[in-house]
Amino acid sequence: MIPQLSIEERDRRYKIVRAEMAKRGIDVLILPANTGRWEQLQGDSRYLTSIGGFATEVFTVFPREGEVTAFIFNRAGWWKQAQKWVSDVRDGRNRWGQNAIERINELGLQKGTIGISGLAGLFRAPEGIIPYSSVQAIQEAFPQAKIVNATEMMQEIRAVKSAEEVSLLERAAAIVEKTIEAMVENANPGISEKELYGAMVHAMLANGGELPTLFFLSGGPGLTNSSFVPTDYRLQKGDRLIDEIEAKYAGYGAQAVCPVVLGAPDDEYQKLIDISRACFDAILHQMKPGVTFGFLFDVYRDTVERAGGGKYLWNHPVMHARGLGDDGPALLGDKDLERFSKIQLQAGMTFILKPQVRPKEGKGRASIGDTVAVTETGARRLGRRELKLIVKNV
Amino acid sequence: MAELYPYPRFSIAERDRRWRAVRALMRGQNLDVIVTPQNSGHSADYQANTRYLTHCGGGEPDLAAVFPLEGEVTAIATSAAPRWPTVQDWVSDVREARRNYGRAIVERLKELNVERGRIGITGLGEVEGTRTPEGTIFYGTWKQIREAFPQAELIDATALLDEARYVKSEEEIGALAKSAEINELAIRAEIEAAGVGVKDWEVWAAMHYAMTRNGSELPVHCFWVSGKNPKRTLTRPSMRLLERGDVIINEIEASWIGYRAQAVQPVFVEVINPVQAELIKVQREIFNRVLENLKPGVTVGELAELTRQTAARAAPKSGPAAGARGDLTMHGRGAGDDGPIITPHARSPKQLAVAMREHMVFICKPSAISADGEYICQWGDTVAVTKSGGRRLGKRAHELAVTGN
Repeated sequence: MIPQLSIEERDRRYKIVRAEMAKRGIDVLILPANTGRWEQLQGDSRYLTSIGGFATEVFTVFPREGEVTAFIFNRAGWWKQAQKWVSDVRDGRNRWGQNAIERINELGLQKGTIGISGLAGLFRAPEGIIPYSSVQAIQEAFPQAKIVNATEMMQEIRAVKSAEEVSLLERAAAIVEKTIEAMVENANPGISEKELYGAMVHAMLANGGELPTLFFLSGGPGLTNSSFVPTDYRLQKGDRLIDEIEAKYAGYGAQAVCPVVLGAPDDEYQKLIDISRACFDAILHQMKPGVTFGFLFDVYRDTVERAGGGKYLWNHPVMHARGLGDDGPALLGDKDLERFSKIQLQAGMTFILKPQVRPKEGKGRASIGDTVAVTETGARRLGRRELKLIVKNV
Repeated sequence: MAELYPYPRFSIAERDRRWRAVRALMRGQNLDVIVTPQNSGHSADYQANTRYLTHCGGGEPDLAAVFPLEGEVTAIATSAAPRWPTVQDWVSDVREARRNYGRAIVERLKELNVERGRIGITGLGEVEGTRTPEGTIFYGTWKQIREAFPQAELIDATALLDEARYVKSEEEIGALAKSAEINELAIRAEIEAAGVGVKDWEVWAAMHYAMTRNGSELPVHCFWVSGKNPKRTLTRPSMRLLERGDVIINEIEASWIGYRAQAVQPVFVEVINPVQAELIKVQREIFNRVLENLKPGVTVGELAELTRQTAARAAPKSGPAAGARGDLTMHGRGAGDDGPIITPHARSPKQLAVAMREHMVFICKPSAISADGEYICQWGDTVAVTKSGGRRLGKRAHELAVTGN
């Protein structure tokens, strides 16, 4: 009924997570339900249950020993049949604190160490994703238990993808490219952003894409930024289309940044894209296990300087991990650069690489990007389209 | 002021109406300020209060607001400057959170000098939301507010905003009518796309295409399932190929400036099941009786009872619909997570006691269920309460749809 990952993949994940729990003294993990930010914030819960998608809220209790329990709002019966990873699926009606208390009592872990992934420190939700009253209920129910933040633990585990995970991202990247084809085909003067967005959504979904998904699209003269909502603006000759297109397959989101111009681009914009592409190639060439993010950032800076003849600057973000959602490492700003500069790449890490470039003087910025995977011998693109500024003759 | 995108918007008069109504309720509870926290969960339903007060939203960003009894209203967002001054003209104080919403909320609360005040927070978790029994404010956000204001009283303002949002203005009903119109275009696309041998997923994609090209925002909360006699929708389509005699059951919600009407429309592939053909007659009778009675003062509990009585009266003595019973499902429609709600499984006394008021808006989708429980016929439309009874916002015929006609 839904795309399935193998039981071997489940066992691989459970083994890694339980080993890490043992190392940190965590008896039980709580993985909150929150489908915010296009369901990216619920990546941990889906990672250990394979349940999710289409805004399905899943709250998971994952013991170091014993059966895993998934709480769904009210369709547990269906989920028991729709996936083969978790047999203990219950209707929880979003009473997450009470759900956790019920299961922790069954497990006899009232005095144990409870790790909450999503208590704080997600990349895009540093204040966490678990409601205050859920935490309060758990604290009150188990005054002798110790509550610890397990967010970073899950971020580190999920950062390295298996071959099965990379294959899902590759499938997602193919859906992204079908969506891009629909954009190029339909982007003609007179069409509104909304209509174009609709045609792209249609292509994405008809090819197996899942909702919700991050997908920004804007059109207009001289644009540098895309909007959260497509508007009634009607495209004209000379417009740019700026986008971030993410398609999901089985919850795994690949992304592309694919600017388009209707008619001939101006020289400056083409130059910005060319420099971005040069940075993309240079960074991709250097990506391999053992290389640090700091080094890659140096490559980025040097390439902007060299390819741009000293007239251009780099700009955040250059790259962030892609996967089930809110994946790390994510180089989104200066603080992230400090945090990850000495961290080394590992085989199985996957990123959207989208180096942004802006002129030292004057306005404007541009980027081009694709999802990439680190392998034992280097890195490879998951997309297959020609990575360039698309010029549509109109 | 940034240049506004060509995008549908509510008027400044609508903003002033909302702010006046919410502030009157705040005075009644002696609240100095209300915080509506960021939480884009459940297709952004969980932060509907922020959008209601600031008009910032669409596309599932995280957004919070600080709404003082007196003084400027503040919207808090990530990538605030490029994103939100361009889509709305209600709030000029749009601040950058860089994902640290608690910090920005605390900063604004300090400017408002509410160190010893009464701070309302929607989704605090003491009052159950319609679908959020444990609230919507994240632990990390709450902690920052609590630590920054140890002397302040933190009050759950969920019910206050519910109260303000129960009754819709003409502009809000207009937005819901537009959403209902898009829903019906989506249903038409669904009927056109469905056929023997077509993949269920592709029909669903065609439905979404119709929705988005006609102006619906994403994400939306649409339910769907196809099969020979499915009883309950799922949140997703499947890869199965449609067969003659299948039915697609659904809950379709287009989002127009964040306002979501709903439509429930069974679509049969080529041939209608004969039991369903009889049940829809009972269902239609229930719907019409409930609609007639959607008048100010009538309670949700009375409507549930009316449903049962009407089914008992309307069910034939013989044939496939003999002995059919009725169940009422209805819940508020609007900016998201609207109440009150009544379903066959969720009938809290508090919700049942809610009395209709003029300009409340609901999805009304009663079911007629065969005596053996094997068939459930549900059809629904978004309706507004008026003095003389309910008014449908949709226009399609109240019947089972069939492809190939």
